Amino acid sequence: MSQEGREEEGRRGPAGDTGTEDELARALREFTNALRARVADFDSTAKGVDPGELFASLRRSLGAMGMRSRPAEIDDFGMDTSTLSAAAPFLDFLADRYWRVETHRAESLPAPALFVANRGGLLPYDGLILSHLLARAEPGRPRPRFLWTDGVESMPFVTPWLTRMGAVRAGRENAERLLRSGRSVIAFPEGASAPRKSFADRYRVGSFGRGGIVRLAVETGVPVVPVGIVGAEEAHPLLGRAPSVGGGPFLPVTPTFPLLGVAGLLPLPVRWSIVFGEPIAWEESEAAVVGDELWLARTTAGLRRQVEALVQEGLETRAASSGG
Amino acid sequence: MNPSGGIAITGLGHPLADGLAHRLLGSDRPVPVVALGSRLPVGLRGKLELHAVDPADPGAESEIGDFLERRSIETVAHMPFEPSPGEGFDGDVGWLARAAANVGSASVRAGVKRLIVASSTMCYGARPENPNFLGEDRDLVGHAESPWLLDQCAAEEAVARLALRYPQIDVCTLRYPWVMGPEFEDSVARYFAGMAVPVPMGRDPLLQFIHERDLLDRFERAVRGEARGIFNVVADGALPVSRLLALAGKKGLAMPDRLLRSVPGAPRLGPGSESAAVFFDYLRYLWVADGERARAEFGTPLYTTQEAWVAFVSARRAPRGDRA
Repeated sequence: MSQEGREEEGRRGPAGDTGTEDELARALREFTNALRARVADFDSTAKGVDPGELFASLRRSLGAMGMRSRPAEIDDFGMDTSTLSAAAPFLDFLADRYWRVETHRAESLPAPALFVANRGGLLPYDGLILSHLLARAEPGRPRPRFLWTDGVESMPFVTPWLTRMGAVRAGRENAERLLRSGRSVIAFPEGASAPRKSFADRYRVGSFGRGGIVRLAVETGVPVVPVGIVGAEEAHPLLGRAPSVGGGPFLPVTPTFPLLGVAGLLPLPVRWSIVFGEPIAWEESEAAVVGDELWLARTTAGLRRQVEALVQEGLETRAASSGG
Repeated sequence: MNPSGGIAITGLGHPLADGLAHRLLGSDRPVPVVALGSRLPVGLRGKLELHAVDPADPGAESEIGDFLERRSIETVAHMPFEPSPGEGFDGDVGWLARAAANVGSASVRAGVKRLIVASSTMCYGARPENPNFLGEDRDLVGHAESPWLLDQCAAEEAVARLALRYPQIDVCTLRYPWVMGPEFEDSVARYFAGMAVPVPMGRDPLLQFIHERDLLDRFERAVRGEARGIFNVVADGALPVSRLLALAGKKGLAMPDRLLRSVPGAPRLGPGSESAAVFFDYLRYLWVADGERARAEFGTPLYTTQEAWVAFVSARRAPRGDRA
């Protein structure tokens, strides 16, 4: 083994030692590795062992005690598994008790997949809840990541917390990287205009743009699962928009905000319904025509209509289950 | 490949150039090394020849070209310049771009085979709309309030134009993030060395580092190898600022923007009157680079971002003399 290899082994330690092994033992092992490396150096170059350097090496190993044993639970997009674990009971409460979310046709969903849903509400509760439910249903799979952009992605406190909870800034590069690494993605192609919907328009599905979502799915070869979400729009019913203060795109006026101050930011306990559509797989022939703007526009419009139909279905099933 | 001719290094006032020179001089495959610039670090005096020249001077191109030709220089490493007084460009906006253009043109004129250029991933800019991974083909926007970064971007553009115009010279640009390690000292390292670190309130972007040893490895491989093009040389992984500080047992002092700007000792990334706000934007928004291309060319760095940080912190826990 090369000296570099030995150092590498000494630095990283054998597999499985993160977080659990005794720190003193780790420091001593690193010291031993450094000693072995120096002895090997001595054999090959007859330079000798420098006791001062050995002592410094031990000091450095001891100086790192208590640091390397903390496992990095944060993935490359900033999702923090410890934050998620801590928040899981709260998300369970929101999904099962507070919003009483019902899911329909959620069995045998493909993975990875690109979930394409309507977007509603000021904060991305829909993405948060949908990713939580999907992860809960299939705990062995990588957690689906939800994309969001509300024009407030630079908002202090909110962005860091959402990032830890698995949110990823909406954009082609991010979505493509996630899909190509085998992670499912939840996308809301209505974009930043969705949270601006008035209460009257809450179930109108807006434009899905110029076809970027379909192009992404076809190019990555990932099936699209259309999803209709009903309820998120009513958690924060938007009655009006006041001029922004403090950097956001606008100040929302809801039945409780700003009337009740910060307490008015709490979402209302409305019933939710989430309906999954049939997964759409892509043929090779479709990959060949993905550059055709006409085909892209037609397919995107078709996808939007499917989501709209699922929203209507969600409204009907929710009304039926609540006896309305 | 090992250059049969000599290697010329600029920017020897910077610890990175200093480290590269020491490596090349002390390696098993030594090559003749000469320095271009205003001064030599104490540790290199008597070990290599200095050709005193201000690379940004109007007449520097022909002077440097003649020198490179006389010494049969095969590779030029145009290294970073410390933004501090004494390097010739203090307060002189455009110095970096002029120096890069002169060194590049002189290299072409002298028939140099390879030109290695040091740059920074800070040139991508820290912005809320950045994707999680910035590829090498991303536009360089720097920071509107940082003449030094804009100058660095202009320097890269000058080199890119040269590479396009003179394909006979292999141009290899290495962009690196903040450097961490036991020995490396710059204004950023000094800032993070404190036990209490002021940070922007409500922000927690992912940060990415490179270990000083990995960075030197990559520069050495670039000098001795045949890689051409632009590479983000970054460590694997990225961690939020809060997690990094927690790992090190440091206290993050969350401050509002206005207060933060008046923090004493806040690093100025550039020389002269550059605002501290520039630095804090890099603690506010994402600027993580995609290191895939460099990994394929130079191999996986030995240290992850977390390990580079641990090496930095543990070395500073030890007395100064023990940091080797």
